Amino acid sequence: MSKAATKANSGDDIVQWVTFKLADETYGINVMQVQEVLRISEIAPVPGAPHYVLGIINLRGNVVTVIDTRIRLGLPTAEVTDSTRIVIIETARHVVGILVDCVAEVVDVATSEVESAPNVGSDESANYIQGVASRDNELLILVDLNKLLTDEEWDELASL
Amino acid sequence: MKQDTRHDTLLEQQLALGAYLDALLTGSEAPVEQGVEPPEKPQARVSAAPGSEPAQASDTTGSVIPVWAETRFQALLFEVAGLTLAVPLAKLKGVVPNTQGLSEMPGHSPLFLGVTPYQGVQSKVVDTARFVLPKDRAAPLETGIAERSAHLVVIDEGRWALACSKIGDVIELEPAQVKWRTAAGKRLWLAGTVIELMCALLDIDELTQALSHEMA
Repeated sequence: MSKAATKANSGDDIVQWVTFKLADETYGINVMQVQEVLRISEIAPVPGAPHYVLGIINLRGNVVTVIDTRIRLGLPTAEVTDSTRIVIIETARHVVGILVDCVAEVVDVATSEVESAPNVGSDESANYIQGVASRDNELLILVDLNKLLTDEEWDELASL
Repeated sequence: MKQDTRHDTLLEQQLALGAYLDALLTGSEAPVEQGVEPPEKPQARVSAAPGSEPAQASDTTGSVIPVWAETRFQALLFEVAGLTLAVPLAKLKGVVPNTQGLSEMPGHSPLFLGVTPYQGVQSKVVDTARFVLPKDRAAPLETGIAERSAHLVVIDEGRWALACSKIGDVIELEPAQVKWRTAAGKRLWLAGTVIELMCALLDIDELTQALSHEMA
């Protein structure tokens, strides 16, 4: 049985999420999709890349595209700090890096705790929100990384 | 002389506000363009609780009077960007100070400030000022979000919360004290205006419908 998706005694599935901060909000991504977390290093810009692409990094000989998650999510941009991290994730189609303000922790969330995302007039590009969960008076926004970009955008990323 | 001038200014402001509230009701001669219009409906509908009798409209004026206002009713006053609004207690779930802040959802409509937990429900917090004010008055609202969301007026069983800057008194009103929206009124979320208090009385059922429409 996977450590990331176990069953509690009640039969409720428990999923582990890596949480990170963006603009003071806490987001979660499935731990199984996280390969590693890096301190920010030199990111080489790619001419003609989409606006949400920061550039590429060399990860032990492999080229990995880094997405500016704040821009992708329509949040205001922020300065890079000591806490800024690049989370290397593996989606159904690609391995990419996402830039986050800081990585917080790994949390267990029972599926029964996950509520559907509140409909707050979000545009179609915001359907990457898989759901939300309340933890310690804080809202955890769970992200479906496969939907972070559209199919066309994933294709465009692959062609960089 | 100074007192006269001040009195004249106050009178002018009251007249202007009165004219503005009147314009809100009719929707025809608004002094300024309305920022966000709820969806047009072929006929104004009166809000009614499930299973309740349909509300009556005055034959003489064509006013639409909600069920909760058929007799003397209470309402809570609150302030939004200088405009006093009133929510009927019959439709009010609660009032909370916004002390813990709001969780902002990415990619949301500018009409929404975020969500906040309220009695086990994630209440969607509406930027009330942006919703009710005309576009040219709502535009300069970019600053002061914290101030204008100091309190939250929770409605619709906690599904929505209206951000406001100040909570006022609870008042009692006779239906006759309210100038009710007519069937021709375009702002269905506005039940009527109370000129003596210079406030706009909200029709919560219509308001939540309009907000849901904004989400569609």
